[in-house]
Amino acid sequence: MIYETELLPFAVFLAFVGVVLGISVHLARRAKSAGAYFAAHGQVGWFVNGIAFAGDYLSAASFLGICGMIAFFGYDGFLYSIGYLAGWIVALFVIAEPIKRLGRYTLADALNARFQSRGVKLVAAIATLVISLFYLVPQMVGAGALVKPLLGLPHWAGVVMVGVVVTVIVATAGMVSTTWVQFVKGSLLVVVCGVTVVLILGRGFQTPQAPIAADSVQWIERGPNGTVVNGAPLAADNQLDSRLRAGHGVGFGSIAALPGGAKETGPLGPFGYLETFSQSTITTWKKTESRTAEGAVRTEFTPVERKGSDLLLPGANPTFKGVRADGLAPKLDFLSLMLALFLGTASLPHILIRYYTVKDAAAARKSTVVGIGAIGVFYVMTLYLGIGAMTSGALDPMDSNMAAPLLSRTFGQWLFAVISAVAFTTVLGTVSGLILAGAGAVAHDLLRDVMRIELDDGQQVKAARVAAVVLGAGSIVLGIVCEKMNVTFLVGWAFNVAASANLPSLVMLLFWRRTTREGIIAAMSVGLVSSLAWILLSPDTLEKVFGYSAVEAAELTIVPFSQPAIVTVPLGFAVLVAVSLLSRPRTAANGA
Amino acid sequence: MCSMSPRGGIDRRLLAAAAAGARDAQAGAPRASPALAASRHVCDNTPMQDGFNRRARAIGLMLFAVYCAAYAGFVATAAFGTFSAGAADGGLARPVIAGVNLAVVYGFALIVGAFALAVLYAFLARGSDE
Repeated sequence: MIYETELLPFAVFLAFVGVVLGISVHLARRAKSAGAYFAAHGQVGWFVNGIAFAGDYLSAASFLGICGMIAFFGYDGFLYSIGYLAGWIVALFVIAEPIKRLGRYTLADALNARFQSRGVKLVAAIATLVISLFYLVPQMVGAGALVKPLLGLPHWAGVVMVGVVVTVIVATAGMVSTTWVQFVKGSLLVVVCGVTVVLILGRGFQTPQAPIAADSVQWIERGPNGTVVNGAPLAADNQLDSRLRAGHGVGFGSIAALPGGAKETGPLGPFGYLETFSQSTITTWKKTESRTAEGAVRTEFTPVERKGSDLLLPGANPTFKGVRADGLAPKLDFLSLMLALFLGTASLPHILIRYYTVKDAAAARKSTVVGIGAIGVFYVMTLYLGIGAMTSGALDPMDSNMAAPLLSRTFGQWLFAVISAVAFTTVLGTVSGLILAGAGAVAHDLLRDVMRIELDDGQQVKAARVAAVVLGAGSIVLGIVCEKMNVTFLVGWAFNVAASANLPSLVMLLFWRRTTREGIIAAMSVGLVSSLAWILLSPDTLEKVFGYSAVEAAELTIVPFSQPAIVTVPLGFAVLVAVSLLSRPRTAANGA
Repeated sequence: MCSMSPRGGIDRRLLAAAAAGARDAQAGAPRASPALAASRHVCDNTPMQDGFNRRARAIGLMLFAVYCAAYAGFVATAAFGTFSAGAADGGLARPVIAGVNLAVVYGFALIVGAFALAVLYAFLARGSDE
């Protein structure tokens, strides 16, 4: 699809960035000590922190990725919503309050509270950096992917823009400004999506002016001789959509038949909307790719009518197709991913450091409740946003990430401008949290505690600022280099790695007295390395990252499924217990 | 994970050590030396500084077990109870409220239920921190 440069979204985004940078520079004076820089003096109110949790957590993958996946495949995207939200229960009931009590600035602080061990700090800091990196790359690539259609700028421009703004935010006032960026973003995201959902329900469903015939195939060929759409060169009046050769009044993704043969429903309530959808027939588009004799890549879209009730069930997306297969083996990917989402949230360093910004465990608890409320409301809305996009007739079949912004455009330019600007700020909020977590791991854990470089309070802040700039620059480079990589699934992997590397140690440290420093070092190292290795050798990576075909990937891989958590999390627990028991006598001799 | 016993209280010595660490921090101690680390082990039996509450912990773990069961039930129904031979024949496919299937209702319930349990926990654990 050809996108025109839109000035309105850019203006709204610039206005937001201006406000955010103004706040950051203004607050920089207040962030001179390590306590202020890393933890905002521990004086952030619980409500603000709760909303900031939403701003920190709801990444581009949540907003654009989930809406896009629901718009293309139905219920499968909602599985992520459920898993991401359920993970907060682990955070609230198991991890939050002890973490608040044990640590000061970083996750490594809490893990090392009992041991004062350089080894624990080193492994925890490395885990923080690796997990944050996995999380960071898709956000930065997402920024580039957004800027192209929304502003008509090249990919690198979006990456540089977001990278520079985030680096300024984190380098100036650390957690103080990051908190406010995340608070503003969290509130904006929930409110703007709420408005969109109200508009979706108010509009209800309509059928196209003329039915879309089953043989009306749309295709695009991209090759050395340019891009051809349906036999003619790509042009403003010859695009994949072009209202599907006119006469239909809609593009990709529409209702084929409403219950009772109605033409439109008018406004619907939240349950009525889902009920009507499940009784309707929806025109979805099956995508097939092939290579022509001239070396062009031909992508063909064939309309497929599907029942709404079927689209509200898991298993339509390739990632989850095993759910519909027989036997246990094909379902392991699904089970493993749901486990990773559940256990990963409470192991994410950039989320956990927010617990150090409130004054005590009670505030940590209350802010988690607020966070769950805000995040829960958002995730419920993703189903409506996704279904709204699926039936809006405005999908870009080549880019599922654009589903939510394109849906908003059907309600007018202003909503499109605001949603696009919110999508950018979504990237800002999450990336600042990630860079701050990384800067803390470098300055506070690695330089000060592992390398034992003498740093006073002010020097530690300076070191963190330098680390933030380096990490910001690194993330810009990665965002540009990884442009062609399919990155939306990287976030799912970040959850796998986080759950495998951090969760066994966090839980056992809190609940098993015999946990030793050797046990923690071993469990974290094994969890990190095994989950990373598993992911790198998985069929998914071979196919999506290294470019093998599905058949080749299945032959080459040495792991049976792509999501490692179901194996590597128990492995982490087992290693921790075994090594702790083996190393117990030495620790006892030390006087524990 | 889900079978974790609510009896498993938090390690008190761990909190004592953390409290000692916090005191060092307040006193401006530059960095943990081996001697300091050793002295923390001596502090193991000191009363906890911030009155950690076992009751809140037990309530939290109980609610956690409830949610774990609900989440596991959802995942298991999706994986094993909904499809046979590739076709939906029950489980999450069954319409439950106003024609909306169990997949959606259970999903909403897990999200709304998480918030409800969180509010309940905050209510039951209130005042436990003094």
